[in-house]
Amino acid sequence: MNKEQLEQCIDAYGTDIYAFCSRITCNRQEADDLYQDTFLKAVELGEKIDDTNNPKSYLVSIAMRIWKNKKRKFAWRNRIAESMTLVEETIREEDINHSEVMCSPEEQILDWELKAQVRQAVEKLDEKYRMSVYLYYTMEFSIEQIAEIMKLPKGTVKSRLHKARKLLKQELEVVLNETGK
Amino acid sequence: MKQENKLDEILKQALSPDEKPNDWLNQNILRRVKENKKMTKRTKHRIPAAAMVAALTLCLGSATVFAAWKYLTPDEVAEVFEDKGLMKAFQSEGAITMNESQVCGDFKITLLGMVSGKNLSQNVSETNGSIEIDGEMTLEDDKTYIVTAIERVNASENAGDGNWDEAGALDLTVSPLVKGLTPWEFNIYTMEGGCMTVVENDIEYRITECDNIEMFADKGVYLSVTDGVPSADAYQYDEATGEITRNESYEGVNALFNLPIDVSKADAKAAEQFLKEMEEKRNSNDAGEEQDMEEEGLAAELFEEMENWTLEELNSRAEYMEDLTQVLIPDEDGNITAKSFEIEEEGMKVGEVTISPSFYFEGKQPGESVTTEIIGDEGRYYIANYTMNEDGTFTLRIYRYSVKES
Repeated sequence: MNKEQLEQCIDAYGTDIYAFCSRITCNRQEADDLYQDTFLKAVELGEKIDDTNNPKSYLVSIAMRIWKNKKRKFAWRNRIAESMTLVEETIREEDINHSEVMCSPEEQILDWELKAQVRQAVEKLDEKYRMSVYLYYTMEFSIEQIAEIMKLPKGTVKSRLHKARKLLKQELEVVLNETGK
Repeated sequence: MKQENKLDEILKQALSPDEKPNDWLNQNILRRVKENKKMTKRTKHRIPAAAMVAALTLCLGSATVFAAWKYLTPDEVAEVFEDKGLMKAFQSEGAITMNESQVCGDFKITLLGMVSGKNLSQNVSETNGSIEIDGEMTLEDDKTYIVTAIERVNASENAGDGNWDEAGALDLTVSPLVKGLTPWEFNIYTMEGGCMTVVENDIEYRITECDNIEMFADKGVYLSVTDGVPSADAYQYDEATGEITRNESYEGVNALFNLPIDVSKADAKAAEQFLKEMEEKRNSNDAGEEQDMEEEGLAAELFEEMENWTLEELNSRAEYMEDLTQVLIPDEDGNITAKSFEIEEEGMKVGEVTISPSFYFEGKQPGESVTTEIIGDEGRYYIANYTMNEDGTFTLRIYRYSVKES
C-alpha cells in the first residue's frame, strides 16, 4: 500500500475504525494508539486493501488482534481506573460537540446522560459480549461478517448478541422504562 | 416486549460512531509509515532459523553483570509516568535500589529497584484507593512496584519507539516468583499484576505492579523476565526444595533475579491467607467459567441447529405462525423489505427489515430457504425464514419453537 492508497483508506474507513477503537479501549489515548497501530500494521502486512476484500472488516480484525495482544500483556490497573474517568469526560465533551442543536439544554443533558449510561452498561459486559455489541451496533456489521471477523460460527455470534441484549435489558431497565414515558 | 426494539434503538444511538480521528493523528500515521519504511523492510526480511537459534542461545545463564549507571533511576521512571506518589516512594528509605543486569537472547535486562507499601501510587490515592475493575469496585492498597530496564543487545538497528514495540520487548513478562510456589501457578497473573512501560533512548522502562510480595520475604522471592507466562520450559522447579532456577537449554528469554527483600518484612500469616484466597478465587473462577462455557455452548449449539433446519424440518419441529407470513417483491436494487409485525403473545414488535437476497441466497435455487434471524428468550424462539419462489418473489415465514415441546 503506497502513501496515496493509505490516505484513501484513512479517508474511507478512518472514522469507523476510530469509533471502534474508542469503544473497545474506553480511553482516548489508547484509542489514538490503537488507531495508529491498526493502520501501521495494515501497511506492514502489505495486503492490498480495496473494495473487493472488505477493508472495513479487515481493519477491524487487525485492531481487535492488536488490542487483544495488548490486553494479554495485562493492564496497568491504575490506568484502567483513570480510563473510566476519562471515558465519562470524553463522552460528555464529544456529545456536546455533536449534539442536536434543536434540543433544549435539559434535553441535551438527558441525552448525554442516557448515552453515558448505555455506554457504561456495555463496557461492563464481558469482553466476548461487548465485542459482538460493538461490531453489530457501532460498526453495523451483519451477523455473517461478525462471525467471519471473530472466527466464530454464526450461531455463537447470535447467541452472544442475544445474551448481551438480555444483560443490557436488565442493566438498563430503568432507562428503558423512563424513555418510554 | 416492546423494550426489545427500544433497546436496539438506544444501543444504536448510544454506540454509533461520533468520534473522529483528528487530522494530526492521520498525519502522524503517514509520517510514521514514511519513517518506518526501513523497519518495514527489515521485519519482512526473515532471519535464517540457524542464525536465530545461535542468537537465542547467547543467553548468558547465571552470568550476572553490573551495569554502569546509564539508566533512569526508579524515581525518574515514576516521574516519566507523572506519578508523584510513586516517585516519592522510590526516593524513600524503604525503597531498594538495584543495578543488576542479565543478558538473555537479544535482550539486556536490568533490575533497577523496588518499593512496597500501601497506596504508594499517586493514581491510586487520587481515587481514594478504590478503583473499578471489570465493573466491580476493588480496594487497591498494599502493592509492590518493581522497575526494570530492558534494551536490545544490538540496538543500533532498532532506533525508534515504534520500532522497539515491533521488536517485541513488550512481549516479555516481568513477574515475581516465590520459592516453594510453582512459577506457572503463582506469578504476576495471580498476584493482581499490572505494568506500565515507556521507551526512552531505545530502553524500555517498565514499572511492574503486583500484590505486596514482602510477606513472602522469608521464603525467598525472585523476579523472572520471560517471553509469555513463566513456564516449565523456561524455569525448573525443584519440588523438594522449592528452588526455582533457569532452564539453561531454554531457547528464549528466561532471566531470573533474586529480590533482596528484608526477611523481617515477612508475614507468614498474611502469606497463608493470601494463598488461601488465591486458591478460592481460582476454584470459583474455574467453576464459573465452566458454567458459562456450558451455557454458551448449549445456546450456540441450539442456534446453529435451528439455523440449519430446512423448511420441512421447520414445519415439522416448530410451529408455523401463518398470520405473519409476507410475500416480498425485490426492489430495484434487488433487496427485499419485510414490514414491521407484532408477536402479540410476547408483546414483541419486530421492526422493518431489509435484506439482500443475493447475499443470503448465493448459490441457492428457487424453492430453497434460509433462516436469517432467531430471536426470543431461553426456551422460546422465533425464527425468521425466507424462501426463494419460482416467480422471483420471496416468502417470509415466522416460526415459533419452544424447547420444552421438542
